[in-house]
Amino acid sequence: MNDTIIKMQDVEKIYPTKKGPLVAVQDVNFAINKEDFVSLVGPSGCGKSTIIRILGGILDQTRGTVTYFDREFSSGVKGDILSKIGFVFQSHNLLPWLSIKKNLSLPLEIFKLSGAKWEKRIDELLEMVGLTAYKNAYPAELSSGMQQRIGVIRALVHDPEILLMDEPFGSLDSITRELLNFELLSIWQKTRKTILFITHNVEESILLSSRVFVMATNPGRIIEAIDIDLPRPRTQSISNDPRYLEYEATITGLIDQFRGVDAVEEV
Amino acid sequence: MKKKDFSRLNFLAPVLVFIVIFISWETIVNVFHIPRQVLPSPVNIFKSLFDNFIPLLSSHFLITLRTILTGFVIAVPTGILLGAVLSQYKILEKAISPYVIILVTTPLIVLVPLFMLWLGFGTNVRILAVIAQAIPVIMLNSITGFNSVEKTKLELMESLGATKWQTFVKVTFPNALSHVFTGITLGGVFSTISVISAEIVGGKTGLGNRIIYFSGFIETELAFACILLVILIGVTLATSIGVVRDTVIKWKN
Repeated sequence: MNDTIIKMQDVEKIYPTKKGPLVAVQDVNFAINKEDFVSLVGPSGCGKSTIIRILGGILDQTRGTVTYFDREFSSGVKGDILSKIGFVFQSHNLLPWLSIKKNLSLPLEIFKLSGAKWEKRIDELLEMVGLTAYKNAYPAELSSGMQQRIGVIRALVHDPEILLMDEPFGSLDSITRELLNFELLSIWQKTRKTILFITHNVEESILLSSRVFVMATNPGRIIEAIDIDLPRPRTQSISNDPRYLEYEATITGLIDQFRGVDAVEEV
Repeated sequence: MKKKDFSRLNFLAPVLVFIVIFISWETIVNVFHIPRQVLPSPVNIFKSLFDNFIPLLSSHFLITLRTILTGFVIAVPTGILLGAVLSQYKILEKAISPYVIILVTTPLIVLVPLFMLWLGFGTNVRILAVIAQAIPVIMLNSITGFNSVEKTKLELMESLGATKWQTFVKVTFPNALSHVFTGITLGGVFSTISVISAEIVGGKTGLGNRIIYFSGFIETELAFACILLVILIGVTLATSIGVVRDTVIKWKN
């Protein structure tokens, strides 16, 4: 075996609804290697969030298996493996009743990691995102960009090997979003985490990733995996690279093509 | 600076209203020569309160206060605990909530005579009245609070593999606190009302009983003085709960 650390095999998720079973995702198969930065891109309703929630132990799959390292899960990811994963939510999802410091210690408490080493890690992460001064503030005192930075470092605080990010910057304004994308790239370069990043923004997925999985709807499935062969470190000027434009055209084309098919079917 | 001005205004506004009501009341009673048995003037009410508090009213005041506080202190944790348990077990909540609503909507005054039939006229029956009235309202508000957790916050705990208890302590309970305090405040109000009602229905002690007693002797000033004392208890209780709430809930959502 190579250094695959996340694998999904024939994963299917069916939600029971009043109108009958709804297939959210079907036949999902992929493998992610160590230190990869993979984006899952697709239109809304394609099941991106379903996939990442299954991986994050929030949802149980209906069929198929999830494998982390050498551990296979056939009915939901559970137990101590979760301490190797950090999950970043769409909204910052901080607990308003806890100070920033307490929010950051929450994963440590749950995973029973205590001691000076971990306390120090909180300080280091706060310093990394330039928010040391807000250690004792409550989340409501921070701007939305700051809150999302804390949301990201909360997922890093227990030093997981894998980072699952569910459209983490989708709710931010475009300037803050770009800033955080570059911050994320530098975090990834420094820490070499394995990242699965969800977005519906094609440019964002190309800028960040080493591979992009393109998804389609009805039923949600992965239709293509594209390797992004662009130099790193990446800067804003990357969007002038002809290969960048090519990737953008390919991915947008794929999404439109499959959306087109659906549109025809619906008529 | 502006903020400070506002908070001073917030404090002054009700005081101003009090002064306006006080002066108009006093003026109307004096100008129209309303007999003091019908409507005593506020000055006379306060005078009668100060003159008679120690000899006539203090013992009843203390009895009423003790009954309210005893019932309240039992009702608050019981109501919160019941709310917490019911919110975690939906089937229990479904089974019990219609009866809780029946208990809340049934006027307590119709139950008190029954309680007295079983338990006599002592303070126990009044404490029971407080508990019967305050627990449901605290419980219902607590349930609302415990059920109002944002789904994403529960998902956070799931992504960390937290146990049900950890999720309750770290997320569900603090999230519910503002609703719980609404319940406690209402519980305080209901406790005061139900003790006074129970004292009016039966027994020979307490401020509720004194209001009826003094009215019977056309001692209207003393009856009003008792009402003032009831208001004092109610307002102090509500204010204290507010202070505790603001100390506990320091964050904004």
